[in-house]
Amino acid sequence: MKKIMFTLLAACAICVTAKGSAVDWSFTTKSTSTAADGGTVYLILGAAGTYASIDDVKAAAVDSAAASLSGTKIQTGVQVWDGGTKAVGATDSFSYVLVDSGETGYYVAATGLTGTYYDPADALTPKPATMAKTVSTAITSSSMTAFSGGSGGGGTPEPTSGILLLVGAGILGLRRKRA
Amino acid sequence: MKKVMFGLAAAAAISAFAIESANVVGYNTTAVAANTWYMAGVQFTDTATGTGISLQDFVKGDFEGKVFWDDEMAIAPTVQIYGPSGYTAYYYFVDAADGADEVTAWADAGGDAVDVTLTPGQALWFKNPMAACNVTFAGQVLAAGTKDITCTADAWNMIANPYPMELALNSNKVTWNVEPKVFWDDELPIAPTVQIYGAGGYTAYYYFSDAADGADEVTAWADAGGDAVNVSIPAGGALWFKASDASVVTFAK
Repeated sequence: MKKIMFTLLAACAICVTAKGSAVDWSFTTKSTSTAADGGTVYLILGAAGTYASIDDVKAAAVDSAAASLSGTKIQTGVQVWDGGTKAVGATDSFSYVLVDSGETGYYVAATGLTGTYYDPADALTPKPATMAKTVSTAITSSSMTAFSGGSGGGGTPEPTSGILLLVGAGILGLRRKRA
Repeated sequence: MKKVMFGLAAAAAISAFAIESANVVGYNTTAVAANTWYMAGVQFTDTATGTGISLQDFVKGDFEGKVFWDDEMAIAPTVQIYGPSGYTAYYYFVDAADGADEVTAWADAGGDAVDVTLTPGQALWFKNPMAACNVTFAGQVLAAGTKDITCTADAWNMIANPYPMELALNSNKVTWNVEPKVFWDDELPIAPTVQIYGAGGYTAYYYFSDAADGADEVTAWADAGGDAVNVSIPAGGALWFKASDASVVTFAK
């Protein structure tokens, strides 16, 4: 009985300490584009969709890595994304967005990928294969979609933000009048 | 006269040693940190049979056994041997039951000493939870030739280099008998994979038909970026191997 209790306690201790999970990922595309050299690949949880600005892409990303040109390949190394408290063995869909070094153009990988969470502290069992996106054609081909919009933050204010600006200016004016 | 007799005795001792050393006995001692798993390959056989070696003879060292009856299973030195469908754990107890006797031995979770035979090419995990130690793997070195290891499809197989010399992944010393995959077809997750365990964790390599090797494309083990690698499996080193097709991996010395 003592032995069973001891085993149960050990199992509980393992439950408490095993709280982290991770997904490994990497990105490679066959291209000689110097614009993408020094750019960044963003890891998006779920479908990448479309974005109005690069800032939106950055806000949506859960991880990122520098992309570099090596021979005919633009690629990142293998990255380890800390999935937090996600259950080990659970899966999620991911997408990538490649933003070039000038942040004047950006591209979304056409298809998503499935990543499997593993326990980085578990040395015994093998971990899932690295979730990797390899694109065989150039980044300007149909396998990647370029979308316009450029760098965000400097564009024309949207109607809602324009109204907020007017309200703020009005409040400031009232305070000055009272003073 | 005494001198001559001494010389004859010495000659007899040398010849006796020469006869015994026809079976080349080897060992590999590794320092293992406390409470840290160490993956070891089985690279020796039993000197008597040449076909396998007892767990009791293969794994030894300066680690101390624990008392089974004191509920010390969780802190006893442990070995885990993996198969495609799971693993079996064994513990080092000072009072393992061996018939009517109590012995210090590798035992199962019930405290009974086990008779487990390991064959070269198998691998196991070792851990001493309470203290750093030196673990020694010993036996007879395999003779020159080849060693086949049968692997299960779509499962992680824990296998080892059975020879006391390092063997390059991309060499004719290891034949994998699996179909490579095309790197540029997004087939990395389903490509044959090996994960080689080191102190810092795993490094994974993939078998591609179009791995980059300088200006050429070759069929080779490559990293996640598709570049062929120059990596060797250490002597007695172990690894995880998985492929979608069943295969017989052949190591050659």
